[in-house]
Amino acid sequence: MKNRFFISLLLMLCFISVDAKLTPATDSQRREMSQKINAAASAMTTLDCNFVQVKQLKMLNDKMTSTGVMRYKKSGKLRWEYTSPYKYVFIINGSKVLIDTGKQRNVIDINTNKMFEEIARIMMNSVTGKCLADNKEFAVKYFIDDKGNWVADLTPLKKQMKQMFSLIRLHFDVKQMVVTSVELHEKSGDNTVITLKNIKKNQPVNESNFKIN
Amino acid sequence: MKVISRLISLLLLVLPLTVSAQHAFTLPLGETVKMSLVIDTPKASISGICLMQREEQKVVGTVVNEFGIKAFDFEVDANAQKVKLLNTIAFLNKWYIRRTIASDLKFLFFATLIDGKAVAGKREIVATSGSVTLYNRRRNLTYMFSPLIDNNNQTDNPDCYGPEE
Repeated sequence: MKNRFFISLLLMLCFISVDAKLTPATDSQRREMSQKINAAASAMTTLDCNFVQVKQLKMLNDKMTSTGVMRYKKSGKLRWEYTSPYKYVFIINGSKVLIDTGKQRNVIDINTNKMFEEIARIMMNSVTGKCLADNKEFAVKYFIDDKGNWVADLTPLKKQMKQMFSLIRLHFDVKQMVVTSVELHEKSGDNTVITLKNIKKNQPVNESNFKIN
Repeated sequence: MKVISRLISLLLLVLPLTVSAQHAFTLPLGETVKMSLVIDTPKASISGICLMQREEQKVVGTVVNEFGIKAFDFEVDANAQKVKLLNTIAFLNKWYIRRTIASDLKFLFFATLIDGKAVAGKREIVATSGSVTLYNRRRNLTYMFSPLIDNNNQTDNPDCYGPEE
């Protein structure tokens, strides 16, 4: 009986400590975080990194890991390339999107395809942190993690986004002032965590990375 | 004694039929099989990854795009011979789309292939060297499943995906 009590207490403490990792930001902290992230996003000219994407699949009780490279250049240029376990390149350059699956290449005009316009905007705004300023798109809550880094929880407000995600969580490295990971939580219970590694900010990025056609 | 010998004869008769039966996928119990999937529709071509797992009496699966965004989950019930679509993404979440995909998947999982082929009405399955293609000629849909080969020279054992002998 005593053992059961201690196990319950231990389990409770474990859950409390998981929750305690994120401390809600105070009003002044929130203002400072929002201001600094927006300033850093505006000052960002390029971003070059590797990424690891882990998709947790509730239905299969399994996960799928993909890796790749991400390159961003102001303004409106993004190369999101999966290198393993499949080859898939997604390039945004202004109003054009290129999708190269290795077998097929498609160029889409985002002005004529609302869904791609949405995807392009969310991808760029998430990696730069610009989406925090979008009050119409998301309700934002700020937290500080146990390492002193910043976390922003974005709850979608628009119907289209709500249908896809219940929550988007961005982790910021305070020293570099960049997004280090993006968590996408779906209504179905699945979630995707994209962790950015070897981040190089404001370093020259070759224009050929964003070539479409 | 007569009954037993009749049963044995029946078993011997049925056995070769069972052995020669083929299905589009061979799914090892409890293991997740990953395949790349391209769905061609009259309007667009959609690419993604299909992950499937065989449990005792059912197969559960999910179709996600390369970014990890889910298109739908599915559940194949071997006993009831039914396929159910779950958690369908909004733009596919219409009864007629769900019904078409579920019927196509039902044919894919339950059809018996002879020499790597199965035809029923306007549906056809063609299985060749690890790849499986399902044609729904009524709706002009093509589902192309092919082994997901790791670009870092790691192969997800494509032999597992061929037609079951």
